[in-house]
Amino acid sequence: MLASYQQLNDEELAVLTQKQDSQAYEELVKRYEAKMFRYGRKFLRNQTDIEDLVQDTFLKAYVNINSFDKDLKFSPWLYRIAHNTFINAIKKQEKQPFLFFDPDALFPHPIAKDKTDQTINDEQIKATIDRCLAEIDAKYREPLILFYLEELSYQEIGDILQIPVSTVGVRIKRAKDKMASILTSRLRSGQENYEY
Amino acid sequence: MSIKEIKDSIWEKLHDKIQQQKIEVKNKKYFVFQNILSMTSGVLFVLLILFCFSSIFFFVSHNNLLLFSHFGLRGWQTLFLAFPWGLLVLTIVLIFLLEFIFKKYQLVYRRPLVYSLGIFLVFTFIFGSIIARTSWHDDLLEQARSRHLPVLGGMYRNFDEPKNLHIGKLREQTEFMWVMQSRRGDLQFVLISANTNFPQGDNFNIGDFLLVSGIKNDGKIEAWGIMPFEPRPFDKAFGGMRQRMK
Repeated sequence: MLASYQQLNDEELAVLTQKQDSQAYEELVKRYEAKMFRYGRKFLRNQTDIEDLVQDTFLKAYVNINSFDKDLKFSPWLYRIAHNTFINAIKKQEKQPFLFFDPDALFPHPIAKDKTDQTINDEQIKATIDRCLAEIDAKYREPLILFYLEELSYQEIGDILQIPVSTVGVRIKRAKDKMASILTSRLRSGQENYEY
Repeated sequence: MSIKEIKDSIWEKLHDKIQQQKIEVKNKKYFVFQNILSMTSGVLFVLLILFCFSSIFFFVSHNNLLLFSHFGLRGWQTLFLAFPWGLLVLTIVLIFLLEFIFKKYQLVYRRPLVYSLGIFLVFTFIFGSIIARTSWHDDLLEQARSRHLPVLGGMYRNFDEPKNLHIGKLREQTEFMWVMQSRRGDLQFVLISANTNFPQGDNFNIGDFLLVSGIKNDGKIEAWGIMPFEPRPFDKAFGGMRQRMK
């Protein structure tokens, strides 16, 4: 039975879930659970209850499945729910101040070229990101994870974080600058033994 | 617990939770209603912002506040003190709240904030000034004067009496004291001294409208500035359209 569901795309499965088809949702959960765990683990470095949060994400997605617009892509919609769930978890733990507006999203920025094809296969970059993630602010960490590790486009990241595409580019650039400074200081102190 | 172990169990756990807690999918109507509510509140906010912004324009034009630039630094100071800052702050807060309501829509969040704010400010400025040019605020003020306007009555009556600013029709003129009749019909005594400025000349005739700036002390206004006043076409307290048509 599930074999036929495997041939359907995410959006078709979401539409079936809207029609109370639980097997369709089971297929969606199976497709995305590993991605959600990876996203959660990278984004919420110090959280121990990632399983609960991922479960919570899928539960919210299920309850709100009727708000999904079948003309749009399913994956940014699910990542948006995960983003909100994870952000709330971070806020609870770190008691971060509530920002009405993000200063990065205030003004237009030149859009940096989306270099997915060139860099995404570079395992060394992924490994480097992995080592530095803990030291990068959540605000910059998240687009970096979504772009390099989850392999989403700038537009999809913009839709998940609800920010302009140019702001996604700015945040990724800042995250990379921060990574470069982390690696430089590590090289100087002898913690890293290769050139960045 | 490794990712593999979690992977094996998450659907089962999720399914059990949905079954045990009888969690149900929210109806499509719920989201349609939510969208309608958010759009309606957005429209209400837009109307409220237009009302506030046009009220500021109306207040400035009703009292010829911009004429105060002719009085130099002291004029600007008077203008600053009389300006309805509370209304302006409220308008700005409402604009930000509106942006917050619409932030979830692609049309808004896909562009830098400064664009949507800029477009909305231009829209507010244009439509606010158009509304202020109509007789709508004058009619509301008239209702406030006759105590027939609940809630906003106080605000409108304050529009008639800005701080240290007095407007009236010249009734009597002596060397040191002028008498003018205010919008409410009461007589006001204006003390003229060597310190009184007349940036547009002191050639006034009985029946002219005056804009007097000065502190009211013991029922008399110690004028430091007097200028001719131009009532709005719909200012019913000063005859309104009828008088002009005569």
